[in-house]
Amino acid sequence: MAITPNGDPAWLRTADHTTYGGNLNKQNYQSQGTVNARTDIDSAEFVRMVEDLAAAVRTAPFCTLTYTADDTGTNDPTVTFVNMMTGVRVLSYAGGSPPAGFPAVTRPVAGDGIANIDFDATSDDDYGVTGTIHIVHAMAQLNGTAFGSANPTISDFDANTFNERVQVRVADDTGVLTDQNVTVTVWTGPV
Amino acid sequence: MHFGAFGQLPIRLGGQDPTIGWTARAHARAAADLAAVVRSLPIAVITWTKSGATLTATGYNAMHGIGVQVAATLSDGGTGITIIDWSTQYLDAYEIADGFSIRGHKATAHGATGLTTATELVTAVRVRVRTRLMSTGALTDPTAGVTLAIWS
Repeated sequence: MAITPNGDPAWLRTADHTTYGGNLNKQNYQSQGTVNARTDIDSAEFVRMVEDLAAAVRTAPFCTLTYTADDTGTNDPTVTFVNMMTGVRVLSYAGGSPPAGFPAVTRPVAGDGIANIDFDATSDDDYGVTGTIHIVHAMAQLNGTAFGSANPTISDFDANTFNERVQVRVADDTGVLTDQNVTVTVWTGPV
Repeated sequence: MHFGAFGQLPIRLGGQDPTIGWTARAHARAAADLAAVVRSLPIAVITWTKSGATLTATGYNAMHGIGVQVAATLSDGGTGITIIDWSTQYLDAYEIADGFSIRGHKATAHGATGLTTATELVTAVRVRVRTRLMSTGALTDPTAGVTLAIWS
């Protein structure tokens, strides 16, 4: 590979406009403006683009996935969709056997209504630059017609000081709910 | 594809070699996708814990900055109730100032206890979040945390 991009992968949230080539004193070369708006990008347009990209990267979710639990069958959940900064998966997979780079979603022993979503400790961007995964926000939504809630808990399950696990517990007012379909969204933060 | 020997701004799009140039079609795709992404992303995401009058932000991702040091202001609205206030405007890196009006808001309570959340838009920059026990419906402090995302 001939080039290594500036900065860290997007999920570390360290980029600012300068990472993408922005500069507070950006100007057109020799103060010459655009000749043809259909072919030329002006310096003001360029810095707006990189500033907006930096802003967008700060709040973009790292991953949104949907799974269906199989508590009745005591199997690991089936993951149906995954949208990640590092890839998109539209074919379902058994949560205990994730494809490379996608999170494992497993059912703990005696864990009705509970799913452990485990991400890799690190991941690479499209240029092979490695970035640590550290989850700081999580949201969970119970889908379907059941009355209940899905509550996540973020943790560092491999004791490397960074969070890679989101455990989701699904329950109604009397106790856990089994075999539910849940959508989870997580955001990462700086390390 | 550019003025002179280097790709000075204004960038002249075009060229045949993808290793040294930026084609018009690639630029147009980048511009369109960035505009699309900016439309749907949250303006801010905040996670905090609450125990009585003690509120602690544990994470903050916002278009205007990252980290709890720039987080929105958390205040105690009573048991199970958190009030979150944003500034009326923020500066981008080029000191362009503008405000926003919150239009979408969504929260999830964390932990091993069944909890539900309800979010309420109080003003254009203030959201109130209520956390309740699933078992009784009673308001309860989210000691394990809550994550709130807002859209404008």
